Amino acid sequence: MNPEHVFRRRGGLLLLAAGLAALLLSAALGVTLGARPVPFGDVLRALASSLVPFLDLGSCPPAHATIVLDLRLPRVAQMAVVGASLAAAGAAYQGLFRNPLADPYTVGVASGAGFGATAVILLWSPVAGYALLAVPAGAFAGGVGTVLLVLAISRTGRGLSGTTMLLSGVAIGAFATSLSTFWMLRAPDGVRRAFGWLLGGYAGGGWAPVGVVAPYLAAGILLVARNARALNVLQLDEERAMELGVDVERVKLGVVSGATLMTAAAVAFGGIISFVGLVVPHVLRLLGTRDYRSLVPLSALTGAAFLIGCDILARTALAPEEVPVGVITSMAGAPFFVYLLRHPNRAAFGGPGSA
Amino acid sequence: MPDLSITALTVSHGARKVLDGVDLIIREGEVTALVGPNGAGKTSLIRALSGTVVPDSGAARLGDADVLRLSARRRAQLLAIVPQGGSIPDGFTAAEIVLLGRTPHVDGWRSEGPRDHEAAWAALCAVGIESLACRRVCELSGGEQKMVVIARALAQEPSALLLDEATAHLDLEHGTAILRLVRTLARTKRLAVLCTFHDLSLAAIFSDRMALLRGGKLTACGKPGEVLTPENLRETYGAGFDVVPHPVHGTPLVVPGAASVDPREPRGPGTSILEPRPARRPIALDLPAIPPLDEASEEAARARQRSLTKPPGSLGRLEELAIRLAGIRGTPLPSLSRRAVIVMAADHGVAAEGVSAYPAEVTRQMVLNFLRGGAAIDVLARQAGARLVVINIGVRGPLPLAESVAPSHPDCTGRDRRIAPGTASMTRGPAMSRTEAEAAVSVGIETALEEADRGLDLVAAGEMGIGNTTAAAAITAALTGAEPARVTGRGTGVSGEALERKVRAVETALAVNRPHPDDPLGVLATVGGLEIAGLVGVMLGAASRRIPVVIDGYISGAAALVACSLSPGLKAFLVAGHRSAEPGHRVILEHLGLSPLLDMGMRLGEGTGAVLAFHILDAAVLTLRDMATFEEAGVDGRSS
Repeated sequence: MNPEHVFRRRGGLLLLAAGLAALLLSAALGVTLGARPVPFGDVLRALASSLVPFLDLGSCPPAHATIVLDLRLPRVAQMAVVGASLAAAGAAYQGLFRNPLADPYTVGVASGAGFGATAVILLWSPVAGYALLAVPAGAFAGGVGTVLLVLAISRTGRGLSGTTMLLSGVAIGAFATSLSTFWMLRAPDGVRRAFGWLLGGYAGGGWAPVGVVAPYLAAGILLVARNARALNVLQLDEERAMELGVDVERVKLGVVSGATLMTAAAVAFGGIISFVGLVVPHVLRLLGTRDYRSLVPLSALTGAAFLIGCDILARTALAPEEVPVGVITSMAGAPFFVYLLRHPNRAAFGGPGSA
Repeated sequence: MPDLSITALTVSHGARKVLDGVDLIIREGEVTALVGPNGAGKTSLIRALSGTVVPDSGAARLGDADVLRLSARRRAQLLAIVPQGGSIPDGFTAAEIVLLGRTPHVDGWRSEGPRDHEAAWAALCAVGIESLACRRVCELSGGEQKMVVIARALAQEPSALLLDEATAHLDLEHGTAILRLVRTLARTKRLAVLCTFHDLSLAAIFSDRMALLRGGKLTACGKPGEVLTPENLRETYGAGFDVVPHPVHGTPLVVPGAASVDPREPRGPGTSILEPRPARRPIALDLPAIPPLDEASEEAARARQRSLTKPPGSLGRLEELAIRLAGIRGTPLPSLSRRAVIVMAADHGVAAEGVSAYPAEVTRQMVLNFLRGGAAIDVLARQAGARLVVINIGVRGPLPLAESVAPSHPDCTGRDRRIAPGTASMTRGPAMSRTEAEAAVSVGIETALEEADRGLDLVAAGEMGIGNTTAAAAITAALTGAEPARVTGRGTGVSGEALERKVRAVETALAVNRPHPDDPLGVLATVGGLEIAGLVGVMLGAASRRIPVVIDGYISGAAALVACSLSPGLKAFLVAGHRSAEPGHRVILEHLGLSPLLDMGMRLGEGTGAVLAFHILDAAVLTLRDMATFEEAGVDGRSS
């Protein structure tokens, strides 16, 4: 038997190409479909004329050009950033805690980040211009606070207890959410300002929010990818990883920081969008991707494509009314969550963390 | 490779010192066994060296380096650990796990390169598991998983190897194989090997040196003979252990001493309430020889399972069943087309004690019902395509079998092989004589051989006899040592006072007859029944002709218990058809290590549960025989 054949990583590049294709396809659909469908020809013309100023592919109605370039394209980009962030963060949390039910929401980080963002929005009104920068920063601060609390609570004599981690995440998440709600109700005009944000009100905010959170996604995914091989080793057991020379504390710090950066990127202008971080990595695992070096980038691509798809549904299902995209992801994700609970062995990646 | 020398190693858990100034040299090319009672600090020593606990003080030099003061990465390049347990997550292949051993040599953004693949491959080869490289670890046996973990440690290319209880959870054969491997690796790769042991005799055979820990202190160190002295053992493990030379290896063999095994104490199962019978009586009966399973056919069936168009192992127990049926039948593709259920019927004297919900007369009436085709077993046997063979081996009252078979029921045979008109009550003395029991076993053997001559691929063992769950309970208590109350159930439907009466009947029968677990035929004669003895014979006879036997409920199970005590080789030919609602049946299955195919809450007997399980066995052999292989179907196998 040829050793290289034995150790070859299987299907990584192929899946990566497929993920990229799915992302491009959903992006194309995302700029084409909507309350007012734009012919794909017009989409291409609008894109071409904006990218290459003097290229003339024929005339595109100005209304269509505005819809594509100023409304739909930034929105698709934002959905891509949010979806990629949530899914990659979900994969990272699941790997780090070796728990199939971990995701930015179940570990409470998203709710904590939501509290941070709410605080910025309520304290800093109106949120525009440079103030936009403060929203993801606030979200990141809230997320870090939550993570620290959860880790402090679930640290037992020997390592982290997965069950305690999830339960305390749920508790602190709920606490943060209630704090946000309370503050929202007390602040003047708070409900309109913050609640609109919670339901994804910044969708349609143009390119500025995308530009503000994209660096968080980039930094986060790099931090997690840097530790992806260590995450593979960590699946054995924390102690085994230490024996194999992994600096477990540093890996945890890197992965948690990366995942929390991404959660902040998602929550800052995405509002509450649950289940993406939970479902996407599991679907990829069911398709056979278990190596975190492939799983993390693939989750990002697939999460982006998935959320763009959900957003298309959100915009078109009751057009011209819009459904919050979180409603769609929950409708798709909740049944899958139940499926995971009922089939822990198939969906989970085994190991003690699945308890 | 350098020696690993530990000096003044001290480790605390909170305020308690678990290791106190341990000095120990682990020489390269040798296996050093670390022994000591639970809590002596063996695992703490390994954890301190592996960096998972931080020692208070001390040093552990390996060449120029003090491994206690290295970074995790650098330490893992020098020192590899084989942990005691540790689950391996689902989905990893053996090659992937071994490649994880390269972690200390792969840094930063780099992935494993050709050099790492080479090292991992060399590790797989050194352990001799190249052929397992692409198998998923969760599908491997415990011994194979251990080898994968050892290969992972070797892939680290360490100078020293530490194993924590390398043989834990492994059977004798695989445990020995692992230790042999470890010793070979120490010699050929010049590794300094430390291995903790609980089994002192095993440690003495496989180690070059031994270190004895007690209460965190090293109390002895040297060659096994120098460490395993009676004085050291007494100080470490208390009085009551003797050291004798091993008859084969000459190494120290540690055995519980005479003082710790008081001959007046009960020794075996079944004697908790009884004095043992002094001597075991010889078996006059000529038992048929039971062949071993055909390993070649099993292997062929196993190979075919792997080539079928499904993930390996995905048919679960169906796959194991088909493989075992291949081994029993001695052919890679067994057929189960000719099948029968043999129903032995007899009466029990104990029925007069009010242990059953039905009068004893019902045995005779039900046998007639079988022959007319109206009982549950008739219906289920017809459905399963099995012929019904009803043997009157001891029914009270007139029973004209041959004339009674309904003309519309051609697949039924009735035979009169009566040994006696029922048994005597076992609460007052033996249920039957030894000669009668032997004769009944012979009837069973003859019946099985007769049916085998007519053509038989599969047989179920069923029975009819009012009062026979009481006999089954007594047999089970006698042979497994279980309390009578635990193994006595509701039978045909007694409860309350009647159930208490039944438990008392079993207790009385055991007290009166004093059956000894070492004398299964005596158990059968004193507290058994004619039909149970008949089934013992059916099982032995069928197995001698390589015919799988499906056992049914409690009575059939009690017969299997007796038969396996007479011929342990029989067990491989038995399939537990279902789990009866009778509590004692569970005890029997656990005792025999059989896991039932069905759990339907049935407690009828007659062979119904066994015949129902035929359908599962059909499924097992049909999937093996009729599914396409990857090659035939043009489906790609796993890309490995």
